[in-house]
Amino acid sequence: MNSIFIHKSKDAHYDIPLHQKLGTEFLIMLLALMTLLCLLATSTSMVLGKALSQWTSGLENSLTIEIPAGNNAPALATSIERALGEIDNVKRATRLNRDDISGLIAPWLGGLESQLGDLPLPTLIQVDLRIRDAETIATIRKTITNLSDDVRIDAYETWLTDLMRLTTTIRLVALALLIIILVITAMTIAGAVRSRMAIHHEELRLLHIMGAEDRYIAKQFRNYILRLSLRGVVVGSCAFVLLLVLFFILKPQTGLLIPTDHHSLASYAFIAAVPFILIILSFLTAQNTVMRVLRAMP
Amino acid sequence: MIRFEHVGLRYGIGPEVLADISFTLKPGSFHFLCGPSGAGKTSLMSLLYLGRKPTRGLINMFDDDVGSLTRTELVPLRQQIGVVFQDFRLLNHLSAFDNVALPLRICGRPESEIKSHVHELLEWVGLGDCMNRLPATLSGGQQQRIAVARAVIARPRLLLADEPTGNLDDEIGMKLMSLIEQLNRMGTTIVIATHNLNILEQFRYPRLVLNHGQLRVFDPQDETNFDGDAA
Ligand SMILES: Nc1ncnc2c1ncn2[C@@H]1O[C@H](COP(=O)(O)OP(=O)(O)O)[C@@H](O)[C@H]1O
Ligand SMILES: [Mg+2]
Repeated sequence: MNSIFIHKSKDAHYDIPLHQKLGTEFLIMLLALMTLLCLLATSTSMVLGKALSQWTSGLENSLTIEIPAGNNAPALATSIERALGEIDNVKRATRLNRDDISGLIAPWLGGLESQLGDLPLPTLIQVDLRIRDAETIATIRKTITNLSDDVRIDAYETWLTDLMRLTTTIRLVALALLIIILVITAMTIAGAVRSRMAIHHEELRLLHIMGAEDRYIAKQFRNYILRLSLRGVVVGSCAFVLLLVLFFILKPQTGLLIPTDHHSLASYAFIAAVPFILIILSFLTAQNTVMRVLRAMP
Repeated sequence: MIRFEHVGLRYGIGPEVLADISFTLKPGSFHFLCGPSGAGKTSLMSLLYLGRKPTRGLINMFDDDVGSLTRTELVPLRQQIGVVFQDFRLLNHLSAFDNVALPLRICGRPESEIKSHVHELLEWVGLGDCMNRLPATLSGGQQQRIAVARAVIARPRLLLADEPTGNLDDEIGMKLMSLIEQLNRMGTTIVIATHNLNILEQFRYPRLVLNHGQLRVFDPQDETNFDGDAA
């Protein structure tokens, strides 16, 4: 890698005149754009995924049991609590008192909560689970139905599955985008290499006749492409950092509810890997394309 | 060490440019390849420098059957062949020095060795002052000397020169010929395509004469087959 950075002097040791500007320099712009797109796709999916998991984390491991108001409600609640205590996976069952409930419904009452005293309110039990699994929820349902048919259990299933699906979809879309970008990049680089090889066909043939090994020729194209991609990736990454800075400056104004901290190390590592993936991709594509074209020579 | 057996070459669906050519070149031999323009000298050269495959026949070079070798196996053979092309084929973006250094770089020789060898040879052919100039800034004769220097710098086992003295005034032509003879004395096999009668008269080496796609060997030293019109 060193030679790429040091190589500033004259364009010595391209035996093939790859330093001539013949149109393939657009790869710098292409790589810059593709880098930016890749970084945006990965970081957006990471942030959205995080936001969704934060919204669901309160609900994920809990469910609510609603006992309709009635004379036997307190007794039923007590027996339900006892029954729940015997299920392994239940961490805690908390009966919400009147204040909690009036707090919950206050927004819908618009300052009338002082009059709640007379209203028949349902009894709510919030159940916290150690791990959420279908089996536990089924057991709870069964236990409670045995005690009473009127009790409603809200395990937020549809909610959660929808959100999970959304998270998965976002991740998949980001991944698909990433793959498409990488494929386009590889195809464009292969095309650029092929066109340069066609332009310099005479020189290639000369080197070939002189007994230059394929890898001697491939190295020159590879280094040329590598130099262009490096520049592009650096430009793209800088643009991304600039966007990030802009985002943090404007964040208070936009009031977006987007979590920007507490991401896993793995997500940061993945974002940091994106530029390297692009560089390695261009390197391998260039190498591969040159070798393929050379193999067609006598 | 170089043997052609019933070799034929045609371009595309055209007629055979070379038809049923057989000859043997001993190691360290020196031959002129002559014949009228369009006789197929350049085509035969391209077979000799492994730039083309014959459409029929066998070519054996340095004890290898060329047809049976893979691409990678041809590389070391090609590195032992020096070629002066009729149109020079210098790399226009490289200096005289870098052009001559090319065969050594391809073989992976160390840069220090390359430097001293190339300097020495360029001085010898009288281009010591032009090392850093681009071919386009040099005269035809100077370019040709660079082409010859590039062909001999790696001391090839086989040197092929396609009309190498066509552009040269006689003094430099002689100097290049003596360079080539010196290489020949060190063991290099030489084939020079030419229709320069001066050169043919002065250097009485055996001739490979091409005409109508056929090849005849003619040795001016050997009076028995001298028929005078071989040039
Ligand atoms: N690349 C080519 N494609 C088609 N025909 C060719 C090609 N090179 C040479 N020829 C034909 O082959 C014949 C021999 O050409 P060449 O080998 O250049 O002869 P010379 O070098 O003796 O003048 C000519 O008729 C020429 O037109
Ligand atoms: Mg010719």
